[in-house]
Amino acid sequence: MNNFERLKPTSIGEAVSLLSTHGEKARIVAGGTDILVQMKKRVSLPEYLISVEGIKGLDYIVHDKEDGLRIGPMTKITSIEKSSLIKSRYHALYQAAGKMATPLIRSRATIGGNLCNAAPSADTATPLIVMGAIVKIEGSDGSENVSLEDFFTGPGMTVLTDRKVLIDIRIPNLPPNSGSVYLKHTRAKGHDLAAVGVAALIVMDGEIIKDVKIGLGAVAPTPIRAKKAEEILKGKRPDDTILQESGQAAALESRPTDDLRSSAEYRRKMVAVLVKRAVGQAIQQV
Amino acid sequence: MADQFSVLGKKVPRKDAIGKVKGEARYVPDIQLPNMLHVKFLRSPHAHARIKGIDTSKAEALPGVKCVLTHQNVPKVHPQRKFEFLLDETVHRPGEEVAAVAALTPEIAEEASRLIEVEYEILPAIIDFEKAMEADAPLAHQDYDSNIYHGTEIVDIPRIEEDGYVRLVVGDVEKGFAEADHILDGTYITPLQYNCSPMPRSVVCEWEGEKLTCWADTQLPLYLLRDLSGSLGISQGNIRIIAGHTVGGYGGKTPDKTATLTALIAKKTGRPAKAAFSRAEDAIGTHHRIRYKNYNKIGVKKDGTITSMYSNIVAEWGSDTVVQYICQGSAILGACSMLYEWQNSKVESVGVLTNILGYGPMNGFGDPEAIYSVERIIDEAAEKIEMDPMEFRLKNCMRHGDKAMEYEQVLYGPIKWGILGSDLDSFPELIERCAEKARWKEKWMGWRTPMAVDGYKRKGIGISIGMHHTSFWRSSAIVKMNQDGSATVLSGAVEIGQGFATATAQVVAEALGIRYEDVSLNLSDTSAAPAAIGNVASSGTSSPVNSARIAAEDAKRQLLELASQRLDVPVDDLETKEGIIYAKGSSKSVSIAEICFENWQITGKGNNPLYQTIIDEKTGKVIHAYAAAVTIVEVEVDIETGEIDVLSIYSGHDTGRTINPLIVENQIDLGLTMACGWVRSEEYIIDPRTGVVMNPNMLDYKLMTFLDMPGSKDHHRILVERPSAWGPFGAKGFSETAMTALAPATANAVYNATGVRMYCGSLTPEHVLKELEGKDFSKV
Amino acid sequence: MSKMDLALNVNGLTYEIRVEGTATLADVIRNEIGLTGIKLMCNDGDCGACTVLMDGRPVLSCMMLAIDAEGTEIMTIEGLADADTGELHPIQASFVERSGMQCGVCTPGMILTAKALIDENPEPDEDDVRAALSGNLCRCGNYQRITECVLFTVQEMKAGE
Repeated sequence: MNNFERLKPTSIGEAVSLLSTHGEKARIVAGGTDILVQMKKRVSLPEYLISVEGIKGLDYIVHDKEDGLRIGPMTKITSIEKSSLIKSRYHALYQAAGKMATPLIRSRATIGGNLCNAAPSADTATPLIVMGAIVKIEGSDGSENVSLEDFFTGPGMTVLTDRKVLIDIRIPNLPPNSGSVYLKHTRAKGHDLAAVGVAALIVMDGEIIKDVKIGLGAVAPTPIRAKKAEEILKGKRPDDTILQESGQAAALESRPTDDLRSSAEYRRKMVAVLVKRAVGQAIQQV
Repeated sequence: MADQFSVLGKKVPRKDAIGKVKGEARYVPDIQLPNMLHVKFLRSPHAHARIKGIDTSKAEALPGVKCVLTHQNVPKVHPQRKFEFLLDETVHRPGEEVAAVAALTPEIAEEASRLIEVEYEILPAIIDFEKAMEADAPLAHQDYDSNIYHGTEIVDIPRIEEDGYVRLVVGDVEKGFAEADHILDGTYITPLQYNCSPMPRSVVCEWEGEKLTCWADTQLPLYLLRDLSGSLGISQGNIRIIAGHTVGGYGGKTPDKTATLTALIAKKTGRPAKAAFSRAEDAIGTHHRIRYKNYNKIGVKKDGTITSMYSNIVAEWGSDTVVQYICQGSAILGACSMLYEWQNSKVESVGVLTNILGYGPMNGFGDPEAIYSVERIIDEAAEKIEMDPMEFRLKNCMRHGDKAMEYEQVLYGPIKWGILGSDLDSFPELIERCAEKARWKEKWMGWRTPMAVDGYKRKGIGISIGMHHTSFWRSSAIVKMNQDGSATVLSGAVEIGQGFATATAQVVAEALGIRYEDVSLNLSDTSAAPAAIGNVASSGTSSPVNSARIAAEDAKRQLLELASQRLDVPVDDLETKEGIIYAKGSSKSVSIAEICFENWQITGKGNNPLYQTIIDEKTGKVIHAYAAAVTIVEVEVDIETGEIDVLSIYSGHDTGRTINPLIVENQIDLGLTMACGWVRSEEYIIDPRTGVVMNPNMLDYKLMTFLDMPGSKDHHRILVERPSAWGPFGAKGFSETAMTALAPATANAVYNATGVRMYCGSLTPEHVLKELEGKDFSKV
Repeated sequence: MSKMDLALNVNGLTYEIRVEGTATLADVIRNEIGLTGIKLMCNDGDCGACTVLMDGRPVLSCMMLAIDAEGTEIMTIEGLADADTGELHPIQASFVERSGMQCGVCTPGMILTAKALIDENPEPDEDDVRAALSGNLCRCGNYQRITECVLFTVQEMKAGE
């Protein structure tokens, strides 16, 4: 492991300014769990690690009637897992938090870290995407809001580039009669990266599916929406056939690769199965 | 049962428990010695290559580096009588050691190893073991004439025939097939498995003058002693191996070259040296359970009689073998005769060399592999005649008087069949009790009828029997009485977590008539303890524990003789209990402590009898020692994802005499969990082009977790005790047997659930889904 | 290689040491402080054996920089039994009584994670126990026995109130 200098800003402004100064030689560190993995693999590290753990006011879960849910980037995954508010109103996110890695990693990993590390399989990404999450990012030229769907630009890459910091995650209030589910396919029950991750948000209008959003993880360079699968369901009365069709469509929209964890072919099959099930379960929730 | 004993059969706390729960138990990587150097290895990236040149100058120049070893400056010896030299000019597998570097810190050693420049001449490699058997296949070892293993100059296997096969025949298989009403056959592959010992391999060596002390993470201190002595050219008396901190070998912590190389470094530098593998190194640099391709053919009559069984087993050895083929003997015997009383059977088996990581012993040692396929074709045969698979097994299973043999005889001869003793006649009881506990009659609803179907979820139940030898080895022990009446056991065997120390202490306490708390142990220090091989082959109970019992009885005799003089009572009228020697029928007594204080030279010695001396009274035939197991598994299969959920396990085991139920249950759980992992999630992924292990880590080599095994109310261990004729108080080793029945029971349960027979051994979701493809589930 | 000064609070004592910035908490506690109760089964964040408690929460010490532990209270397995009397914590006692381990490598991490669970939830059921321990691997296969030990501890602690 090469040596690095550790910087501990006490405010966002300071963090942003440090990033400006050092550019690609610097990197933000939150819970540190992903960073350690890379250090041990001897992936070369930046000269400056900017630890944001010391910045107060970034660890929160608050709900507002107008704005919806806001989560601070430094919120630990265990806090999300234990939030009854998230469990009841943003169920897919609660499920994702509970399925991520192991309890021991969740006790230090942060939601901001999970998103900014931007693995295609990031568990919290797809639930947030289908719920329409908006992230606030701050750079030296001020802050801006970005839809989470547009946040990821490639495996391990986001719009943050080297100079911006994620400072807030907001999920608007979900419409009434909505349900959300996150399903993850793994090789063993305890502890695994997702071979396939699926999030579904359903809004019902009586017996009809009024709106649906489907997110797929680990089957493309970034988490993606399965828009064609969504179209098949919108405005329809759900039944086995249509759920099956939607799953098949999602499978075709996915672009998985072969790797030692799973073959592309199997992943595609799992997309079809999990989308069908996630949508079905989300409808049950309503 | 347990009531006649004071200590035996009791749930006493383990001798090693307190150290382990307090973090005080020290394992080899925890050892820190002043001035110690750290050793790291440079490993070959190639499957087969000759080292044309090796330049260590940059490595040696790095500050902090104290020593570099290559094939140019180490003795040309064959460790463990393997093909490869200690450091070889030619490498035969990816991951083979090319150089060893010692430095002040592991990081410096690692960095230095990357500075060593090696020029390789790539040689043709053979990775696929089936292709390796073809005439024009590249040779895995160019100085060997074939890829079919047939012994070497240093290792002679007398029963390997001209064509490289070892054969074992009983009766006449063709005649048996002619008599059959039905003949079935199939080819079953059993998967690789990585030992994945919780502590990656490590060793510390230190010299003092001509004496070497080696703290080794090994199960076989005796073999390591011989190996080091031979490789280093020094007397065994000058080597002290301390294996008190060995961990979870599961058979795999057999001696390897690491100890010799580390010892050489310590000698050259004049400093203690420690080599501690990383997890990745352990995964690519040790050895593993091999893959078997089993072809089985069975002949069966309508009434359920098995008339004939033929097996052809091709074993993928990898680049080299440890324990010279002996595992094969176990598998051959298992397939030939050790589960059922077949009148006619024949097994032909061959070992094939390839340029991948080599084979080494692992829990079960050939039997899980052979039984995994035998028990599946047995199930198919039962189905063919529409007989309940539980009844079929009950009808045909081994019983007292059926022929049995010691597995090493399969390879070395002579072929002299003994019998299964009456104490080993436990299959029927195990089958019945397991079936009762599992409510088999209710749940098994007939062939091609799953237990339940609920959309894409299907439930099934399956059964299998299993067996494994419990070996007899020469073993010697000392029980020395301390002046306060406590006893210390000196034994060369090793506490690897299986509970050996505790079992020994209980047996010695029982034999002597003292309290369990008053027995202490000094284990696996070759300078202090008399010779025992170590702990392998489920031999702990039958061998070192038994020799400790004999030594305790010797000490007891001495105590009684002294007490007899003191109390003026004949020896035959004396007995011991809780540390007191008392005269039966009188109030005369004296404490053991008092006798010991006055006579402090009381030392009991014991040698284990050799198996040839254990004879059945009725028939005069030699009894061979085996332990039986029966496992019933209920599964739920998700036919859309291929996932298998093991809902419940009912597993029955014959322990002979249960020395400590807690420890026995621990061992059963080990076998069950490891077998579950073997078939459901553990996949050793080897690149078919390069032979490289792709998943040398615990993220991608997936072990079972708390969430993957059944919950408490669905996890049943059923113990049967049929005291053996020869084990200490009738106990016998049964640990590896625990591994043998679960995998086929799971496969059979999956068949019951899905109606699809799976011939690949690995039942990961992806494999299962592939097998289920094309099946019309609306009909089943 | 530049070293940094670090003050670590481990088991109630403060250790002033000099460490590499890149050193993990596990390596520092094992090698600089000399407490080898932390076992490195994988040293890669996959097995849970290296678990310590940091301000009462179970964390993987091999996946943390030592410098990130400054200002926290770390408990290793050595700190669990009573410092004055040596009395075992109820979890440790139940592991001893009921043979909650075989080779013992996963044991320290297992016990600490179980302690964190019971401290937070004094009445977990079997599902809670298995879920909380799901990141702690046991190659010796003692999941059933460990679950029994933890549930037994819960009962004992409840009875002792």
